[in-house]
Amino acid sequence: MKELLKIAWRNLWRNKRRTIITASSVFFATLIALIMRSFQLGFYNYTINSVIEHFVGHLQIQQTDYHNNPSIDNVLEFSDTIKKILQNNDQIKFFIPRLESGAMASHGTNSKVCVVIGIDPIKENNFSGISRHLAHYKIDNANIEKMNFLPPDLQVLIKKAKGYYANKKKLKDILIYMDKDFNKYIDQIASNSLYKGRYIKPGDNEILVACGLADYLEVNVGDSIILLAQGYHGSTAIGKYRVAGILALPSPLMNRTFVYMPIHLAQDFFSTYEIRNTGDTARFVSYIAINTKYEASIRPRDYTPIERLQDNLQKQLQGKDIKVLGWKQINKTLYQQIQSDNISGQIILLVIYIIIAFGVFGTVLMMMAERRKEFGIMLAIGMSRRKLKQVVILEIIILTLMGIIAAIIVAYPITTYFHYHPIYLGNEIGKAYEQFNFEPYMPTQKPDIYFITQPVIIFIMMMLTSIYPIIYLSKLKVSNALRS
Amino acid sequence: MAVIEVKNLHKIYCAGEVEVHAIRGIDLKIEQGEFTAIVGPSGSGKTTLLNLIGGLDEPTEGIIIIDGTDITKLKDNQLIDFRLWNIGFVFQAYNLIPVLTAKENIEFIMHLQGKSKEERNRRAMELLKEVGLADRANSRPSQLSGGQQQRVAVARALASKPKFVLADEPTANLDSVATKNLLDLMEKLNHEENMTFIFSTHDSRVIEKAHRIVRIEDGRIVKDEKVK
Repeated sequence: MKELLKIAWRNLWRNKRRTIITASSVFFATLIALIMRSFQLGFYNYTINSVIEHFVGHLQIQQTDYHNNPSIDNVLEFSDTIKKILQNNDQIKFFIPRLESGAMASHGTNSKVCVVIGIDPIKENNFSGISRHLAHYKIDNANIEKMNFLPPDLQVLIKKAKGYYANKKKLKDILIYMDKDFNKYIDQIASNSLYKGRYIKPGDNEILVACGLADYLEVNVGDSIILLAQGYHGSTAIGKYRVAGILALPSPLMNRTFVYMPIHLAQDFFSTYEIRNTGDTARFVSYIAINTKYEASIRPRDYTPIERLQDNLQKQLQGKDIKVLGWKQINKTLYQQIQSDNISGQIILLVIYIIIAFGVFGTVLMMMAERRKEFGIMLAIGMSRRKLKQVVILEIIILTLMGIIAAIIVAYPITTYFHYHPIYLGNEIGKAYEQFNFEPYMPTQKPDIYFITQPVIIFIMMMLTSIYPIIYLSKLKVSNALRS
Repeated sequence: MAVIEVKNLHKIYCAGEVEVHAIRGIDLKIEQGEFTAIVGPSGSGKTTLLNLIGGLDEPTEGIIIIDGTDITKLKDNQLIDFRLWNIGFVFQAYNLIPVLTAKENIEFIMHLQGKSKEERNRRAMELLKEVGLADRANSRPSQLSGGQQQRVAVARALASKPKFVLADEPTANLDSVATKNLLDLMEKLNHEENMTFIFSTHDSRVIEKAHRIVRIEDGRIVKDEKVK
């Protein structure tokens, strides 16, 4: 084999330019495949991470009718039995109760429909890290006026960045996207746009308002808003609450509508409790969101551990008018969006693979035609057809591996960098992302299994091109080859 | 016993719809140690006859017995293996493997035979010394002259210790000095090692050196004479 490898290697360098061009085409195909796949998987992971693992949960326990009719009447009791079942299951990482329903929020002469979410502030923060979305910076007319250190053009431009920002990075990303010159003033801008607010505690009578809603209602931290809604079993829910903080949430839809309050406060507001004959108070929730120790998989037709756990919990909670739903059922649209995007991405990659495979096939054709006589000589002097085929296949393998390995070396730092420094999409694509309620960031997936699967697929495609030389060399007549 | 025995050999090529009768019933015996020239005008069937004897082409009719084996009955793989162990080839255009050095070209045949590295190295150097190219052992074919390449080709043909060497117009691309050197080398090997050489040619300088001349015209032997 060593001798054959030596011949194959040297054969490749007989025509350096062609070898470099062919290996480059494999290199670019692999690089494009890895980077494309990295962004694709990165986006799915980011979506699953922000929407499923940090909001919806892998599983939800609901009252049977809630999924089809999410009304305040279709609530379930967050009983000790359920708590115990969930606490004793070592596959469950977190479980949090939420009470959700629509309301009318008003402040001054402004009013708007909103979604009130009752949460356990501590558990919710552990689950979704909601406190990291608390706005710490606000750019508005008042503080733009104070920014006279900015050149006139930037002073005009910064007006387009009015709004709330949870952290300095987000503020910096948007400003630099508008004009790189903002980089010089970012610290000054940040210190002039500091915004105070705090996260809610259990037992608080205060609420958190999402920034879009706060803007519409023209409320600030310390102001009060009035909430009006239909409560449990037709009761009227009304209350006045002080704003503790403003949230700059990842999704524009959430930003336009969400109001968070401690769950006890929400249960009191919506009257979702019952005083039993025993004197105990049964408190109700809309659902219990559960995160498991497993990762949510986007692959279709998988009976994942999450789904296995869903079935087990359903069995344990049988007869309690309770339904356990998986994230794919709860967020059917999101799941289908990811699926169709995944498939279309894979089709694009397949097209790239096929184009490159034909490029390599062209090289193989030339290689075979050029060396017809040489193959004849080798067969004449006693080299077996099997060994001759091995030499040609080795040439294709080396050519392919050169391209693939180079691409992996180049793609690794690129995909790692963009995983930690996602691209900010401030343009039309970003707006489209926001319309679908995604943050306008494009992170990559850190190099993992796809760094093996993509190169392996390309390698197999390239190996398919060796079918031709195998057939060619099986049929080659020595005397004809010698005459050529 | 004859090393090569050819009986009633026919070869018909189909060039489109036209049949070309390249060999028309040749009978030939070649003994061990002969230095035979197959001569004849272009298109007379010299190369076809050598190809058939070398198992590079299949006859339409007839048998070819080499050292007791009827090679017309061998399968493709068996024939390749047979050639490896029994026949040495020297081609008109040298046809060395361009990516291997002179020494590696000679060693390559022995590598195919599964000989050890030490044996390959020893015999390759012996043969290079014999053909007068020991100092060019590490040169690639492109760094050698035509005459030098053909001498390496002869050394390669001998590397497998074949029963005989077939050389198809070995001097066709060589100048007179290189031709003389090559013929002297082949004659020396024939004389000293009793190696059987069969070569096709229409070069008078080669014919002069031959011990037996087989003249072919229109696919038939028209004259077969021992001259030395």
